[in-house]
Amino acid sequence: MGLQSCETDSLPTTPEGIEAEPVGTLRVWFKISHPWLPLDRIVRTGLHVAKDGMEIYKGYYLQSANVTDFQENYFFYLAPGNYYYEASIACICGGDSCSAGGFPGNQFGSKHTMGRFTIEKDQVTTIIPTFQ
Amino acid sequence: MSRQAIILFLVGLVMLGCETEVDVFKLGESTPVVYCILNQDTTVQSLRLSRSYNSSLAAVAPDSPDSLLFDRALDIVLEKVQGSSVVKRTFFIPVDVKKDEGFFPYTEHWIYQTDMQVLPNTTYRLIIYLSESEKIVYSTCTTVTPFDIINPAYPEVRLIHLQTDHNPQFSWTKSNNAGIYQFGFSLHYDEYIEDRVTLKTVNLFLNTTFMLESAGHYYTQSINSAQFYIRLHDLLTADPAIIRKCTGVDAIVLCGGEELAYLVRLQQGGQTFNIMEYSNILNGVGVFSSRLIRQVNGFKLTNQTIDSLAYGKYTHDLNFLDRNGIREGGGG
Repeated sequence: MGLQSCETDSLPTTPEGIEAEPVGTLRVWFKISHPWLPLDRIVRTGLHVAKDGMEIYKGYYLQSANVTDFQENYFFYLAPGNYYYEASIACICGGDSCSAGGFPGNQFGSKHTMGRFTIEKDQVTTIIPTFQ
Repeated sequence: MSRQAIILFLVGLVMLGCETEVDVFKLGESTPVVYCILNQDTTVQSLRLSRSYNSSLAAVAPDSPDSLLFDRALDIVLEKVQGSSVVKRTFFIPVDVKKDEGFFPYTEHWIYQTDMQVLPNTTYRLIIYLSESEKIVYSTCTTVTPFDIINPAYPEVRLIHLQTDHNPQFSWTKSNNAGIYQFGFSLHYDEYIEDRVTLKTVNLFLNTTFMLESAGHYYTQSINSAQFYIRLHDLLTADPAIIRKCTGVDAIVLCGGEELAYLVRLQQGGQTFNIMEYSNILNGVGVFSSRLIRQVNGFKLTNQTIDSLAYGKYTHDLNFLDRNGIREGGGG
C-alpha cells in the first residue's frame, strides 16, 4: 500500500501532441563572378532573409548569415511561405578599378540584389543571387 | 676471548650501527611555483613567483602566511638564446600590484617585470637563483610565430551577426609552436551615467581550442552566439542608472605556446585543486610559455544583434540601446 501510494503518474514517453514546426530549406549559392575584375577582389558582404520587401528595405530581417570568403553555399531553415532575400557584394580593388568594373564609388563600393522565393515543407529551394 | 665476550662485542656493534637521529618535526622544503607567459605584443614581460609546500613532507605548517612569497631581491633573468649562446639578457624587478578582492593567505603581493621585446620563433631561457636554498629554477621555451585572422574580415563592409541561426566563424592561419587558441570579440560601448559618457571595452573570449598538430593552411572554428550574451551578462553590472550604447566589436584570436596548451588541457581534465599536473619548470612547478594576439578592428553589429543586446533574455537588464538609439519602455 505504502509503495503504491508513493507511485506517481508516469511521464509520457512519447511526444504525443507535440509536433515539430514544418520547415523547408533555402540554399543560397552565393557565387562571385565578374567579366574582368579579379574574383578574389570581390567579397560577399551581406545575405539576409525577410518576410517581405518592405522589411528588407527597413532592415528588419528574419535571419542573416555571417558571409565569408571561404563559403559559397549558405542555408536557412524557414517555415513554409513566401520570403525575400537580399545579397550584397563589395569590390576591394585599389585605384579606380572598382568604378571601372561597375561598382559605385571606388574601393568598398558595393552592389545589392534582392528577390522573392518560396519555401515548401521538407523541400530545398535554391537561389543564385546575380548582380547587375 | 671467551665465547660470551665475543657475542657481547658483536651485539654492541650491531646496536651502535643502528643508532640514527630522528627528526620528528622536519620542516618541509618549499617548491617554487613559476608562471611566466611571454607577451609578444608588448615589451613588458611579467612573472609570478610563489612557493608551495608539500604537506606530506612537513609536519608543521608555515609559521607566517607571507612565507608563500620569496624574497623580493631575487636574481631572475630572462635570456634570449641563439644557438648555444646568450645574445640578450635582462633582469626582472619586483613590482607591487593591487590584489583582487577576496581571500588571500598573504598580505602583500608583487610580480616581477622586465623590459624585453620578445621575438617570434626564438628560444628564451628563464633562470631564477634562490639564494636561501642555493637552488636554480630553470626553463626554456620557443615563442610562437605570427599568424593572421582571415575571417571575420573586411570590417569596412561586413557586419557581425550574433544570432544562433547563423553563428559567426573564425578562421586563422597556423602559428608554429602554438598549441592553444582562444577567440572572441572585444565589445566597445559608451556608458552613460547621468550626463557623463565613458568609452568602455570588454573582452569576450568565447571559445578555446587546442591544435597541436598541423591541420592545413588555416583553422576554422565557430562560436555559439548565445555565449556572447551570457558572458556579457556575467561581465557587466546591471544598474538601472547606467545606459549603454554599443559602438562596435573587434574580432580577437589569442594563441598560446604548446606548454600553455598542455597545462590548460590537463587542468580542464583534472581535479579542481590539482593544478600542477604539467610543468616545464626545472626545480619547480609552473609554466614558461609565450602568447600572441591578433585582432581585426572596427566591425559593426547587425541590427538584430543590437536589438538582442537591448532586449534579449540574457542582456536586457544591462540597458543597451536598440537599433534606433532608444529603449522601449524608457531610457535612451
